[in-house]
Parts: sequence; structure tokens; C-alpha cells
Amino acid sequence: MNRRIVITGMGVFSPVGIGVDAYWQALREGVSGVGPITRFEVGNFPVWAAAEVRQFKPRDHIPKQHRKALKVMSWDVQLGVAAAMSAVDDARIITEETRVDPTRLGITFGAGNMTSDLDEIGQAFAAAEKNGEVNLDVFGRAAMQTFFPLWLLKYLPNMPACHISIFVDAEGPNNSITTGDAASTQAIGEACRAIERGAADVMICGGVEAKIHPVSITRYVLLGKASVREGRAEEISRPFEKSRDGFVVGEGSAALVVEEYEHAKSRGAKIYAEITGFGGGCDAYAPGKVEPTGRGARVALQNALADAKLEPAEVDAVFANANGAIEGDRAESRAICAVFGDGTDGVPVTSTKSMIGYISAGGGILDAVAAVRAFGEGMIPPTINYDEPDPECAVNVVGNTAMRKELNHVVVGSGGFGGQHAALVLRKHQE
Amino acid sequence: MSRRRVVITGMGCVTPVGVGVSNFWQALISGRSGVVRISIFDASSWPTKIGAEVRDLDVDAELDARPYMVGAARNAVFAVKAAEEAFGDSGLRKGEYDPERLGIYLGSGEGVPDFFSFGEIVGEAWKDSRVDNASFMRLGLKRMDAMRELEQEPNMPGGHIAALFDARAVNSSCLTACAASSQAFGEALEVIRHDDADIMITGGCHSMLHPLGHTGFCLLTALGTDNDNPAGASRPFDMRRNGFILGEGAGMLVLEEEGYARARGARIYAEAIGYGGSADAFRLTDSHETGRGAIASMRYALEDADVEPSEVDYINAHGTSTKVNDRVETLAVKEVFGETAYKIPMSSTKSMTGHLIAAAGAVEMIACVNAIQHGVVPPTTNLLEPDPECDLDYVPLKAREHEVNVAMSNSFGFGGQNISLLVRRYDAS
Repeated sequence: MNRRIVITGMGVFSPVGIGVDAYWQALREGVSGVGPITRFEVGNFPVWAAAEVRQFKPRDHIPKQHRKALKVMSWDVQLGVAAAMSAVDDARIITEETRVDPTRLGITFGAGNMTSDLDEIGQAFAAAEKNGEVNLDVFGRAAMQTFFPLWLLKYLPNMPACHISIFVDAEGPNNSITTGDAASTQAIGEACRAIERGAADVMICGGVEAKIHPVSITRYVLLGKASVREGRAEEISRPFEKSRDGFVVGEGSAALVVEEYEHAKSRGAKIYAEITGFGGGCDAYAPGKVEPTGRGARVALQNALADAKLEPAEVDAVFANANGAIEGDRAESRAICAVFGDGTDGVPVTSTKSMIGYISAGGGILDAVAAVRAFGEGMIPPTINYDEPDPECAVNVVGNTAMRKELNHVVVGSGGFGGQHAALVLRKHQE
Repeated sequence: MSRRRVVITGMGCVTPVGVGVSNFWQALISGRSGVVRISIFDASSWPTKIGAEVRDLDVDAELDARPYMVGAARNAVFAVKAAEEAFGDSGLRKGEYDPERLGIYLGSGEGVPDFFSFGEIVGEAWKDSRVDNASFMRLGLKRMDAMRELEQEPNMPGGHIAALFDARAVNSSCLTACAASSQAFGEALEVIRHDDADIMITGGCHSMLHPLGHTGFCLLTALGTDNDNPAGASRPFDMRRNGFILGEGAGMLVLEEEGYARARGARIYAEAIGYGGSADAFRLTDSHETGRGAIASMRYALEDADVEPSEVDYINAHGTSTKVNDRVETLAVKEVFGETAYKIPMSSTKSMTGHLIAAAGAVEMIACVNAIQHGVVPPTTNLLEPDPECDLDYVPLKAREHEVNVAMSNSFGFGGQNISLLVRRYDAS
């Protein structure tokens, strides 16, 4: 980074807790957020467990004068906006006494495709479908009558950033990144770049993904990526572990307020940590297939370290993307080993997905929040269910119990489907 | 430290008025419309039955020729086709560049749904006024196609293009509605300026011309409805405008660090000099009535480029042909450019191409570069009855010879994201 950029606010809505304290407490104690799917009836479907966000009441997190917007916000958008509003509150950038210049406040959010609630569109299809065929003439009329007027807007990936901009009057740069697993890590990085080049002083960056949805879960099973393991729900998500058979779908959101250092200092903001490096990389391989050497992840890690002007040996922990997918965890392990060295001599690596599930576009920012708390406590949260190492994942996994360690630099790595990867370097804040 | 300069060295596009940059440009300067009765699907029972379709490309044949794209749909075919043209045009050859210094930044729309398969399953799973999710999933496992589902993710086109050209540096996709590919261009410019890559393939691709997308836009009452006059239906800045015409396509550009491009003897089309972005922070569906977001993005782009308003020779307007956009954009341009606003030709090529949504900005940037190259500005067609509130020089009806050194392209997204870009005739000094 060419300028000093600090984190001054955080918000999180995760399967293991709402709010940063609850989230961190669960992570450090190795609590799983995975349970049987309660959102809808799954019948005999092979996937029966997921990491749901529980007790989320969207109304409580949306400013009163904007609550009517809730009906045009999908569940995904509601989660994303809630995280951003929490981060904004935490950073005290908009209070009764003071507010940052709206034209110097921007937003970058990571999000994915959002799938319509099937009940909203089902009637039109039911009317149009006969003997396994959809009649377009009937569908067109029925859809115009039964879809609600702002239906399209409810599910657009740029909607978290749009609603947030309206709620907090953020008139600066506004972007929505849709690079799958890399999206929110990239959103943080691009927010920092906007500050570096002087386009904003303060950026709200975040990410959300909520694919505990019948369509999305069916897709994941068809792609052969989701775990169909039976037994105890909390034991299904097993990144890096030998018997893993795929990921567990999670949902969640998080947001950070990132800020130019002098700006933060002059308004007396509390500073959680610094972001010193960002890098991207790509597998350049058939999308949907796993590039076995993890080259995209490696390039992203190397670029982030170079941006931070940091040697690999100076990194104290890596929060990995590893979500329990068989090939993906191996490829990422190879990338980490290539950059940081093999085995127990290598940097400690952990995957929060063992507890919160696979949250794709939200994964990176949830890890960034965890990393910030890890600095404060000098503790790396565990990768739970790490019973037997997969020899092909030769990284130094922080298995089952948290590791105490003084942390000065932490790397967050994200990436997957589509080949896009991104990495961040965070530094413990020092005056 | 002086900033790294960034130049445009390749272009490619797939548009409703032509496939390939040369066909596209010829159509624009001859004022040809790409708006037709929708034939991709039978749209006769929707209130709008017209759209700007890509007709000059056999999508199935293109897919058959690219087995690595199994499951991909129109949007990704457009993207790859345009990227192949742009890359070929740049003269870059695999093996001659460092793959870790070649990146991608797209404004990539959602992929096209597997509509009939999806619809049948939803229809069959409908019981007692709701969809029975367990039935949906059971049927889905039997009938949904894994790759067609995966291809609906917006980051897939960027993945395909990366694989084609071995692009291993940063790879990003944004989806900020109608501003997306302009934003991607601006961010790609910043990636090179920041020294995170030497070469970027940037642009956008989108097709919302499918029954669900079309329903969504019809319900927003955003679309024009002149079903009996397709070619005349998109009429930005005209009194009788009544909505935009949904289009589809892709535009791709190759951006390079100037020194890198010169060292390899590349032909340089123009220089990318300014990027400004802002948010209206007002309403989901309406621009702020003062045009504050558009004013800000144009000013930021001018500041970024260190260009005076009077130096701008051409503006490619966002100009959607909706009541509000065209009025507010006019207002904003007047605020930024003052009296000179009346002297700057500002046309909307959407009058011919329709609105390519996420891909719009990229093809409009290609139009700007061609205007610089050829000394001709494309027209706003169908502008027969000027709206008194839209009183600038919109280059009505006919293309015009006009020397262009600096061109601005505006893109304003649904939801309030505003992007303005500036390009300039390349001058080595």
C-alpha cells in the first residue's frame, strides 16, 4: 500500500454468532455453526445440514426511516446491509455530533448471484407448465401479473452497496464485486486502492453470501462439491482433513470500515488493525475445474506480500479459503506451501469454514474480522474436525484447539470457482 | 513519482448492430438500429416485445467450436468472442508476455438461466400455493445441468478469458448494473497505474434478453413499448421517449502500460486518462433530481485526467431514452461544462444499440475510441422532436465529421452508481 490504511469499524452476522464478540468467542472455542437445515424442508435430499445465521431480525438493523425498503431486499441483501450498518455504528463515522464527508465515503461490497425466492415466481410457472413444458404465452402474462413490481431489484448483486449508500449517504465510489469466493477479499483490497489513490478517505467494505437456498444447494450437489456426509452435523465440515467429502454451505455477512490513517487519527477513531497488502491472481484454468498446483492462489499471496513489502517468514498466520472440497483444499495447500514452506515448519494455517461453513463471497471478509480479533488476543482460532491430516494438504494446520501466538502479520486468502483468487496482509496496529 | 500511463491497444465487440469493431462502427456512423421484434424467445405476451438482439452471430456454432465452454450461454460466448478479437487486435501473443502480469477486469452480468428446465421443475413443484422445496430439489437433481447452472455465475466469463490467454494476474468482475463495464475499465486502468499488472483485458458482457430478465425490466416499467416501430423505439433526448430498449452483447478492450506497449511496438489507439466514480445515494430506481452523482463522477474524471471541461470534444452519453435519465444527464453536463456544454457534441449510441446493461459502457468506450480515430462522432438516431429540457447538441440523426482529441463516456447504474471515463488521442510526448 502506498498509504497507511486502518480498520476502524467491524460488523458481522455469522452462523456462530451475531456481532463481533459473539463471533470471535465461538471461533476461539471451536464452536460449530453447522446444523440440520431449518430454513426449508429438504426431504430425502443428500445435503441435510448447513451453517445458518440464526436469530437474525433484519428490522432491528435497518434505520427506522428506511424499513420499508426491507421488502425489496432479499435475505442476502438484508444480511449484507445489516453487517455494514453495524460496522458504520462501530466506527462512529456517522453520529449525532459528527459525520465524515459523504462525498469522501465510498462502498465496495462482494456479493454473488442471488436466487429468487421460489414462492414469488412459482405461480407463473405453475400456470405455464403443462406435461413438463413451459408455455411462454401463458408465462409472460402470468409473470407480469404475479411477480411483484420491484422483483428484479430484490436480487441484484449491487443492491447491498446501493441500499447502504442510501442509508448512510455514501456518495463516493461504489462498487460490487462478483468474483465468487474471492469477492469480499477483493472488495477490501479495492476499497484500500480507492483510498490509496485519493478517491475516498473512508470506505465501507463487506461481503455477503446466503446460498442456503433450494436452487443453490441443488447446484452444489450437481457439481459434486457439497458434502453428503451423515452423522453429527457439527462434524461434517472438515477442511484439510483426510476424510472430508466436500463443503458445508454456510451463510453470513461482514463489513469493515477502512480509513486513511491520518483521517482516522484526526477524528480520534479507535484503530483495530492495518491493511498493508492486497494482491490478486488467477488460475487461468477451465472454470469449474481445480488447477492442481494452486497457481492462482500462489500469485495472489505473492502479490499481497509484495504489496506489503513483507517476507513470507514474517507472516504469523494464514486464514485459508479451504472449505472441505477435496481438490480445492489440496490446491490451496500447495500454493501456501510454495510461498511459506511445507509442513510443521510452515506458517500456522487455519480455516474458519470448519465452523461457519462455506460462505463464498462472504468468506474473505468474515476471515478478515476474525484476523483482527486474533491480533488482539494473540490467538489463532482452530480448524475443527481435524482428526487425521490429509498428506496432500501439507500445511501446518491449527487443528481442533486455538493456538496462542503473538501475531504481527496475518494473511487472508480467498478464491475458488472461476479461478479468481485474492489475498490480504493485515498488520497489528502500532502507533 | 509520475503516474504510469495507460494506453488502449486492442478492441473487440459483439453488438446488436454488428459483430466486430469495424461492423459495429460502420453501423453506428450510418445510423443503423439493432432493435428488432424479440426472436430469442416468444415475447408476444409481454408488454414490450422488442429488444436489441445480437443477430449476426451463430451462438450454437460458436459454442460447438469451443468444447471447453460446455454449459455456457450467450453472455459468455459474446465475452469470449469479443475478447478474442481484442486480444488478436492488440498483437499480443501467448508466450511473449509474462502471464502473471496479464489481468482481467470485467463488468460481467449474470449468466442466462436455463429457463425451460428451471421453469418446468418449479411448475411441477408448485403445490398448495407454494413451491415444495423438497420436490424442487428432487427434480432438480434429475434435470438440472451442473455446468449450465455454474455458468450463471457472473465470474465465469472472466474465468474463461483468463484460461484462453493464460491471464494469471488479478482477475475481477464487478456488477454495478448499467455502469459495470465502465467501472471495470476504470478499475483496470487503476490496476495498471498501481503496477499490479502491465496488461489488462477489460470490458463487459451481458444478456438479460430471456423471459425472467425481460419480465423484471417490464415490471419496472423501464422499457420502451413501441412494439410496431422497433428501429425507432430507442430515442434518447426526444420528447416522445418512453423507456430504454434492452440489448445484449459484449465489448472488450486491451489496456497496457504505455512503456510496455511501446517497447513491443504495439499500435496505440488512444490513452486512458480519467476515471471518476460516485454514488447518488438517493433512491434505488431514480437518479437524484439535481444530477449530483453524475456531476460528481464527471468532475472526478476530469480532475483525474487533469483536463479542463473545455478540452472535451465529444461525450458519449449514458442516454438511455428514459424520461428521467436523459433530463438529469443533460442537467448534470450543463452544470459541469457550463456554457461549453452547448458546444460539445454528445450522442447516445443506445439509440441504435439499445441498452447492453453491464456491457454498455465497454461498447460505448469503443465508440469513443473510434470517434478519436476517425474524426467522426456517431449520431443519436430517432431524435426528431427535441425535448425542451434536453437542449444540448446530441448529434441528431446523422453522424458528423468532428475532430475528437478528448472523449468522455458516461455510465450511470440502476441503484445510483455513476462512472465517467476520459480517453485522449495518444501523444507520445
